[in-house]
Amino acid sequence: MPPYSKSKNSKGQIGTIEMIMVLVVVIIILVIGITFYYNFFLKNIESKKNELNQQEANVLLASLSSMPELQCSFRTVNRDCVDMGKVIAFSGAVANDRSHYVDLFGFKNIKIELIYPKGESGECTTNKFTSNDYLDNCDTWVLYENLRDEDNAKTSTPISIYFPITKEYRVGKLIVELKL
Amino acid sequence: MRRAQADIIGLVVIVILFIIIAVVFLRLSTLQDTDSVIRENIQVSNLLNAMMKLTPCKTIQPLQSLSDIIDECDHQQQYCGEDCKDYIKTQIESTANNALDKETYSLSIIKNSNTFINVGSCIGSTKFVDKAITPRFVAKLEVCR
Repeated sequence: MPPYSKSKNSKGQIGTIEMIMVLVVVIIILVIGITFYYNFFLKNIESKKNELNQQEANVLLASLSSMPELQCSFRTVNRDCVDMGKVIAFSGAVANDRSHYVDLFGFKNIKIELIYPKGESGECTTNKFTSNDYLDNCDTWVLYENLRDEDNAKTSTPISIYFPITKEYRVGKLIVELKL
Repeated sequence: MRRAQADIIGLVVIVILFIIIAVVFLRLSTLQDTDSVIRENIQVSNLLNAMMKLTPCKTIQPLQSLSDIIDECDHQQQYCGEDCKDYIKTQIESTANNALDKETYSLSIIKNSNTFINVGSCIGSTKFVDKAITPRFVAKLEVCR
């Protein structure tokens, strides 16, 4: 075999090895990319469910305060606040027609928390409502309860709350708890 | 094909791969933000509405909302046993501090084209802004995180 053909052969081998190395690097990058995308995609699917639940809770937050059962209305004119007189009646309505509200709200807890000016902490029951120091003897109104787990996600929004007995407006927080 | 050409093609393939990965990542991360931005905006709007409706002083009858108090407050006027400006500031601070968790806020009230009150300072990058406009003043609330 002539000497020049040996050198040409080894050059060709080097070229092939180079090509293989480049291919290996490209494949490694592709595999890393696909793995990264796949993991991200899986995570995304998992969080999609939570996200949809969260969205549902947000829609509920936005629509709850404009429900006729809760919204303030003065001589048939609706205002952007929650009537706390109606809230007490609402808890009774939920107890009387639970199946209707379960269809409407599903597995969630809905409550209103007084944030400013604040009195004593505790749940506002009918007994406390009839007491003379009502408003200063409690700070939480449970509107609807259909979730027992303690590890829940919470979403909330500030709201204006109106107390018709004293004609007072305070600031509260409408809270929706949902299962993740 | 020459060696230089093969190298350039390899480089282009790698760059294209990186661009595709970056685009997918950016798209997915921006998709997740949209919902929370809408939610935060609703929260800011609701907070401003709740602040303006608040009736903080129980000793003066009929009860006046913070919006009415701002409307009527002039220089060194007293309200509920305090300078009315200080009183409004205290009420805004207490409400915002109780309503916001980790966010910072800044509320400015503009009356007759002049800044009447400035409360808080917005620290952070994400801003949600809402305005309450009445015939006599404009209240602008900014929330940052």
